[in-house]
Amino acid sequence: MQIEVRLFATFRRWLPASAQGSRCQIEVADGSDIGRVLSQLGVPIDQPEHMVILLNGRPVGPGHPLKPGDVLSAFPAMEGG
Amino acid sequence: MYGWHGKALHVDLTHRTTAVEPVDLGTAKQYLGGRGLAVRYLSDLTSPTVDPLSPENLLILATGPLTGTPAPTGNRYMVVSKSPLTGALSRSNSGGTFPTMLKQTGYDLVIIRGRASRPVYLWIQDEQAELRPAEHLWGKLVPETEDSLLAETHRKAKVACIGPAGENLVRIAAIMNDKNRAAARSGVGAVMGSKLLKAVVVHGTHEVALYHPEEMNALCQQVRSEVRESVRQGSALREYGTAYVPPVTNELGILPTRNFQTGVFEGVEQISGHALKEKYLRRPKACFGCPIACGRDTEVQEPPYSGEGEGPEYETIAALGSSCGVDNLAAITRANYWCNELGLDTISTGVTISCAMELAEKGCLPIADVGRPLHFGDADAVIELVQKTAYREGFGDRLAEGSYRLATSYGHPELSMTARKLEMPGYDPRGSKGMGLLYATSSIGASHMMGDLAYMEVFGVPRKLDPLAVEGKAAYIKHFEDLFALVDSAGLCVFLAIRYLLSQDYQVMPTRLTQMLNHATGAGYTSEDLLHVGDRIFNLERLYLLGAGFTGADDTLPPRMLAESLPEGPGRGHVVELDRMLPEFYRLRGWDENGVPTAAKLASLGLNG
Repeated sequence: MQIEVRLFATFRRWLPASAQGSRCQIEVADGSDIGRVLSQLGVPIDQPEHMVILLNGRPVGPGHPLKPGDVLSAFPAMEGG
Repeated sequence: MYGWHGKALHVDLTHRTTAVEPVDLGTAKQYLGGRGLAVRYLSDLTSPTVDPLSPENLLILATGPLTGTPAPTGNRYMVVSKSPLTGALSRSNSGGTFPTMLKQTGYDLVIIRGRASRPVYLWIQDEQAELRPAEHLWGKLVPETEDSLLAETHRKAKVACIGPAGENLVRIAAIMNDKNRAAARSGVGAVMGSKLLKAVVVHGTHEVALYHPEEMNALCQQVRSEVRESVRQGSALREYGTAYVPPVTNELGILPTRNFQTGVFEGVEQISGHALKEKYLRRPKACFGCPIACGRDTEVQEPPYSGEGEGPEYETIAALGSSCGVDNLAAITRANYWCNELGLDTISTGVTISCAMELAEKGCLPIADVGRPLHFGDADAVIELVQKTAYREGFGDRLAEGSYRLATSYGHPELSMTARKLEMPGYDPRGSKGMGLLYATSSIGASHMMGDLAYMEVFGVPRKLDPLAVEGKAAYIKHFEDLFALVDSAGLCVFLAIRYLLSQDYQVMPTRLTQMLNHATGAGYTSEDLLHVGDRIFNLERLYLLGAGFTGADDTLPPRMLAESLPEGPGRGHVVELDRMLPEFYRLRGWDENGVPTAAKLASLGLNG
């Protein structure tokens, strides 16, 4: 299934080359959860308290399932100050 | 004394006199310094009914007990006065290098009253204070004012001054220091201008005596190493400055857009920190003693927007950018430079211009009054109107009054995005409910810096809160208002304090801030003591507001925030349910149903007469 991923601030470094600005469309396996998708992109998810994850603009945890067309956004929890 | 010098400099501009008075240690412990101590002096020395632009109003420049110490970011000062924009308190905060040098003069605070007969500046070298003529500086922009003053005082002196906006009594004028840092909000620059005081120039050599210097240094080293490690791993603030925020708030649907008509801006990618870094960033810039370096030293080489300076920060991008519908980052940056050079608050300036744009688009503001067509997205109009505002030229004379007076003069006060007449910052409260309660209850009006729950609602620090939830927000706002009063009064930057000096067990506590204050002052505070200090400061401010004529009915928001729901984004359909939060807030504060502190509450804080 296809979803849109948006990575902001220092998380931009894990955007794939196909990204337009901070956004990219990616194909993920059916049944994937957020943690799995972020891990595949290289975003470290071992400390979820240090990041903010939004699904369609609403805060969720990394275990949340995904459905086609979802917009998944992530950024560091005010890293650095 | 430790931490505090124990001295206040009183300056009477009318009589051209200065006097040194001791600061009572007991009062300092009760109000900490900075904002708290300054509000205590303001309350004791003037009536809250004073005309803000009259000689009777005070302009207080105050450092905290951690200003000028090894505390990382221990380099903030506060400007406290009665606001000519709001009629409420002014509380403006700035960093740079000026605050530490102000503290090193040997004074904790400078209390200025009266009005000079001709323009002057105040030159403080160690404990020697002198008023000098400033006719030759009147009318000059901020950078040339500072350069002239350094040439005629001391090359290592530090300068806080007003630009043309403050001289022209623009109600949204700032006091600038280090050329590009601003004590911006609620018109403190106009108060300074009304006193014909162009600048305060400081140079000092007094180190701050510390109660436990070794323990203080060890704790500060520990915090610095934590920040350095964080920066090494990749810090958004270091890499992008606060400009990293627009895509984040846009994602939550709370990026002010077209005068807060929506919270989603189609041009957000063009005004992001990433774009700023790619196009205009020369280097990150730190205030003195700061390991974070969120400041942006920038240069634009695209005519007609060419220039160099600092910024833009997030709030500036939101106000002069998305709120005006402008996605041209070069123009936003140039407008920011103009605000710095002219001495204007970028938030109030941008949100006042966006108010004019909405008035014009709705047919409530004749083109003839503006002198040009005015539409959202017109970057060149923004730049032109910024300059006209500072000089009160043409339509700028209307803009110089701020958005509330502007909108009211055209019969549409509901189009002013203000609380207590202060323009709202970059978080639409319909999608960040705690911020709505904060804007409505803050002592200075709609400021994020009076208890910024966006840290939890938006940025997940110290932990995440659902931005759309209402339940429990009253308690968080009460707590954050008290915490921010502490940080403001200690002399620290909130960016450091929120992340590194607070801890969380059952609630967010000022654990390491307490340790730092005790090492510096020897006051022997507990964290609970300090929260009590924060509560005391907030209630003292409330008494000032009540004395100035405000009532519980003023604890409100623009009708748009209360009755027009967000049209899109994750907060679509939401308004601020202020009526659900405010009664609980009053109860938690120990206030009656009219928002007045009860006698028992005041007695518990030592504020009963």
